[in-house]
Amino acid sequence: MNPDLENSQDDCGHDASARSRRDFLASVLVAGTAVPAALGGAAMGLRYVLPPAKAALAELLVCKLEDIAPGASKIFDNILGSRICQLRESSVPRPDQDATTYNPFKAFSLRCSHLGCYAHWEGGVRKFVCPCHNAVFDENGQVVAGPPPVGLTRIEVEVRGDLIYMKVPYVKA
Amino acid sequence: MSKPDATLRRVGAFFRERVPLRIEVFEQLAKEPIPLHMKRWWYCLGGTPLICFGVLLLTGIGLTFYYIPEPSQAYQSVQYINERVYFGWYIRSLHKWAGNLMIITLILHLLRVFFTSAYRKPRELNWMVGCGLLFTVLGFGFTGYALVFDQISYWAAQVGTGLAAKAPVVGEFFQRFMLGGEVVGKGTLARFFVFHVGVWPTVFTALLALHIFLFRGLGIADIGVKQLSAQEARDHDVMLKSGRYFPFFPNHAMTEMVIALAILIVLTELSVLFPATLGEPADPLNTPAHIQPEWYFFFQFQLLKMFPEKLALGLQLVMILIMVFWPFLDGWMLKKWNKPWLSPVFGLAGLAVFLALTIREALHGYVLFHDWWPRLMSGL
Repeated sequence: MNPDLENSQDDCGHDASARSRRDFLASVLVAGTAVPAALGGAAMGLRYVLPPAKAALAELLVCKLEDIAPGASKIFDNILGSRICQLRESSVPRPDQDATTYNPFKAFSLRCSHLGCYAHWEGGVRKFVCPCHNAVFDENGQVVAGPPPVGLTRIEVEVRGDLIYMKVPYVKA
Repeated sequence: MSKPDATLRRVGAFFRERVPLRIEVFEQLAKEPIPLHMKRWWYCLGGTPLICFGVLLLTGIGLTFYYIPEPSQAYQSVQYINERVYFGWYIRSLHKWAGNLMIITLILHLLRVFFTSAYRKPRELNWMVGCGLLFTVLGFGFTGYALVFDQISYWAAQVGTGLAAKAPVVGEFFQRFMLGGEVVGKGTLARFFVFHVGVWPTVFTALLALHIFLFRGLGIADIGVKQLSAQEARDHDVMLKSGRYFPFFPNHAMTEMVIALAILIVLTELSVLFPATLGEPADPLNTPAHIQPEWYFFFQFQLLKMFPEKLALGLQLVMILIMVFWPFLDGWMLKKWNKPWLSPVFGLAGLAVFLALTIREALHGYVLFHDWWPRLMSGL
């Protein structure tokens, strides 16, 4: 006879099968705590490793109205870590543009959405071109050619009086 | 044989053919007989600094992801970790408290080894390696404290390196070596950083390997048990059957795990209740009115306040030498006078001096920073 079965009661008089049920419950409890704790810990570790994302917009005065002539463009370097290109179209909207919401100013972050190189503005063809993988964006920042998954990040521009303001994303404190 | 079994076997065979290690060796190592007295937890303190070291290693790697060892950015990067990085304050607090706890556990382990005379022949060299580990950890503490680059840590580095300059002959060379310039600055941070994350971890790991090699090779000191004959001690199975030993795995490993769990709980509590803070940014032109090193240098700091510099440095050197060479000194005293109680008496005296000076400095700091003592006095 199996020696383990000879005495199927433990010191307290409990049945051995009852103890195995208790063992089962204990392991369920342990697993039920340890597994979520481990997963939660891993998720938090991952979030620690990733630096905080850009989370807020800062409104900045960037230049005067007269600094950019109609039809011209201007590069703003290192505005809270971003390189931004601002375009100024003619002050009269084209027939296909809504005159009430027309804003002749447009600005884009020049960081290419593909792999993060800087694109540049080609005024002659009115396109943004990224030299790394020949990506081309139109004057609205939309992808025209090349590998980028999405267009350039648009920066909000507001003109108040003769001053131009931009809303630039930055890391929130 | 089921399919997964066969696959597993094939994978096992693949590695056995290519990695020249025998599993049986590890099984034998895992079964190492541990004397029964090791069932008491205070004999298991040796593993506790190692657990802290593990925590320090992981959190330290995490901190280097954001820390910038450059004077104009060091403080800001620590602030960034504390305030912006997801759970950055927690990682930094864990790092700080694990460092403090490591020194406490090291001291406790040292006291245990000392008062059970476990350093005696043939374990003298291992005691010295252990002292080396303690000094390395103090080196970790000194360099790490300065990296924060707030006022207190900046001036602690300034005073610490200034002290080194007072040592005869090599002092000034040593100071320039540590500073990497004339004052604490760019060069100092670069050097302290590389020592903190590169040199000390390498030295520590090497000494630790030697420490473990020596103590596994010599076996754990038997306390109050009749030594087995050389023949018996060669065979682990005979030892385990004698009933005076239990196997390292799983029994002792389990004890260590329980201790590790307790340490992790204490660390978490300390980090949450007393998170690591940040003082004013370092200002090389303004020495704060009251500066103080970390508590484990209080003892040394008090000596400097009580005695002239040269004497204080000399005293420290003598104390360090006595500590490092104690096993041989103790052996010599035993041979000469045969009074076994001498060693614990010396130990208690040393401990008393250490505690008295540490507490004196701690209270001094408390009075300075909170000025309750003068107010109490003026009220009386």
